[in-house]
Amino acid sequence: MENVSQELLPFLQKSTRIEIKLTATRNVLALSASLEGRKFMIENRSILEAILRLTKDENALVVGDCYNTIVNLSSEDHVIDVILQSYNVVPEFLRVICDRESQFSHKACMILNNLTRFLNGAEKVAEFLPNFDKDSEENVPDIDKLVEVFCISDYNKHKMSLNYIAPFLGNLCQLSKVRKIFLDPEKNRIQKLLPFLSHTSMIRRGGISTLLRNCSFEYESHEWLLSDKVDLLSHVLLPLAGPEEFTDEENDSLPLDLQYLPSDKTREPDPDVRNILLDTLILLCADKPGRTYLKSKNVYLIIRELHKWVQQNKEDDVSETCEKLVQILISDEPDEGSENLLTCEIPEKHRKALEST
Amino acid sequence: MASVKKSKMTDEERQKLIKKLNKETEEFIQQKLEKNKDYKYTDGFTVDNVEEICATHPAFMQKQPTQEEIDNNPMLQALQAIQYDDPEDTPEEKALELKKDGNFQYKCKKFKRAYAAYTEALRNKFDNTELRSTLFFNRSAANYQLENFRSSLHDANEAVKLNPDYVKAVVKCAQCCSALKRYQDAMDWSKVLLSLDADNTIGNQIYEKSKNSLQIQKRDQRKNEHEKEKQRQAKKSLITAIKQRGIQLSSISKDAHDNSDEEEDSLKLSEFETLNVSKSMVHLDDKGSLIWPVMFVYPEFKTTDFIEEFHETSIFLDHLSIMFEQQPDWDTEQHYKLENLEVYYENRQTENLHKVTMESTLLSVLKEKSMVVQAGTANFIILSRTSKFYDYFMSKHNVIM
Repeated sequence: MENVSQELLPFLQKSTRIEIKLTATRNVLALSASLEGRKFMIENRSILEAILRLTKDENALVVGDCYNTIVNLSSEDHVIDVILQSYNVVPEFLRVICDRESQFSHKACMILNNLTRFLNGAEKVAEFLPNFDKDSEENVPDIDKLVEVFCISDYNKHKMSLNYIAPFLGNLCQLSKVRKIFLDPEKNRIQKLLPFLSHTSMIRRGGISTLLRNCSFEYESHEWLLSDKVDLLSHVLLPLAGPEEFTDEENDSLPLDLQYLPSDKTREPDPDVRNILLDTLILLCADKPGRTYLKSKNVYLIIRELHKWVQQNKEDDVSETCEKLVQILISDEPDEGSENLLTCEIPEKHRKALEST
Repeated sequence: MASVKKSKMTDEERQKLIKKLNKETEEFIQQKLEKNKDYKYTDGFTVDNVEEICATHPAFMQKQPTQEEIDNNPMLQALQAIQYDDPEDTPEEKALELKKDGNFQYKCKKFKRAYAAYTEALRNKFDNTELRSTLFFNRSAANYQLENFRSSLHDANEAVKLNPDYVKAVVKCAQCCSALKRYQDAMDWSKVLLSLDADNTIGNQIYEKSKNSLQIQKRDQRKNEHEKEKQRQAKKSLITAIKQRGIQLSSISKDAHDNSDEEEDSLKLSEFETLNVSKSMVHLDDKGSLIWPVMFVYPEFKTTDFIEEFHETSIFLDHLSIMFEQQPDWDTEQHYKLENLEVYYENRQTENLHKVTMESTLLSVLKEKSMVVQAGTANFIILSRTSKFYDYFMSKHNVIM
């Protein structure tokens, strides 16, 4: 492999003749498809550096190869740190996402999504956002720009999908400081993203539900999230509801948007997304006002039917999450002092028991 | 040219000329007075004609004159010309005058007149888009006051087209959509409004109100659809139940075709439409039994009894024994006692009478091949075999026992 690199490196230059350059990038791309190849490229940075440089080549095919190589590389956990620590790539990828003319926006989204999968990566990437870096480079899009670009259909002139902005933003919401931006009651950022819970793209639905789940950790914002201004409950509950018929009385007890759903109503098709939505509901139940609200809106009814349905489909994971939520919804209120399930202290002996399982 | 010459006159000459002219004028008046010694002014107000004149004089008129009145009245024509038709005015100036007039009428809450003035103003051709936009908005406001929300929306929209930053016009658009129950549009306009003026309270109010109204509207649509679906299902199971039993129906109105999605069914809803007063219709009970409306006809007395709910498994005897527990008013000769009664049904096509035994259930009779349920109601003829009418009636019909 050492030899390969020695042979390829001289051709991975902007000035190389196009056919030769393309052959070289093809080879690197092939290399990045295997675990061994990726390992090698991290240990011998010269090729990686050449590839990063060539992302600005004039030839679209060459650039495409480079982007695909980086997508492959960024799927590797330890590569993420290497890329983020040693190279200043984030601003450029952010700009490419928001560049209507770029043919690589889709790949740039995928790369940033990969890079932010873990808390570490998310923290490093967030530092490049103008929201947090006052001296950021020029023309680096901030969160509002990303939200705007994401919400406009056919934003990209080459019909790049930009679906991966959703999980990218969802990943960034691992950080409390990013969550606070989305939860600013003066702005309608979350409201703009809610409709994508019913989008045809699973990537979009999954990404936005992750974002909502992460934001629901901020229990101080629950009141606002559940108010008419956002109406998070209806939006999260709707994909979980099926075509089951309820009595007039039962219908009246549900949120308006959940009442009298048609007989052809379908549920969120992806079990993982369903699970994330259920987690969101559980988090909304963490404090007393939220719990009281979810109980008063008869969330139990929807979850009961969902539970029956997932059991028929033998989805154990989702079924378990349903049970967890139902447990909270039907059980008595906890004692005074431990009303907030996110902040209440777990007695030592229980914690040990839990940790050992 | 004349004035130039005059300016060269000396003061003396001028004094001379003035004197001369004064003298001439006096002579002229004297002549006239001599000539019209007997003239009397007749156009003035008198006790008799004061009301009539007041009604047609522009200064005293009580009502707005019609176009015809204006055409017949030189004074009104003159006034109109002063206000609107000064030939010196450009179309834009005319429009501006009319706008002022419209605004005045609007202030006086005369919205129809304000509307007319703005419409007239808009007829003028001018390039000032700001004025045109304002005129559209003002007319929109007048239309809004007149509750012509559709026209108001159209005008407000025109105003916004000409001036995209026209906050008041955007507010009007949102208000109109809300009044027209077009809540999605109202929300969209509110968003436009909030993008122009983030703190606009009306925008926020309309947005929140429309969001809620839209939710309710959509819920009601779904509920409505639910009800319809329920009815469709009920109708379907009713049709199936009747079909399974092999009961024949004949509809009242052959042409009243129910073009619903039940094309495959030979039975249509119109076949259940009944002519009876109570509008009761055949229906299924909880246990899946049919309940029919049944008419008993007494040809001897040209009277009927109507039973709204005749359970298909009930027998005729049960109903009749209750009905004839007491002697009916019309049975003056006391022939219609339970033990003397006979029940028949008539087949409309063959005109044959078919006998029904008292112990048979309604279902068993309805299933008979010669039985056709007319107009959704099962009809039966009741006769008394002790009555003279019985023989007469029997002789007229072909009876099948």
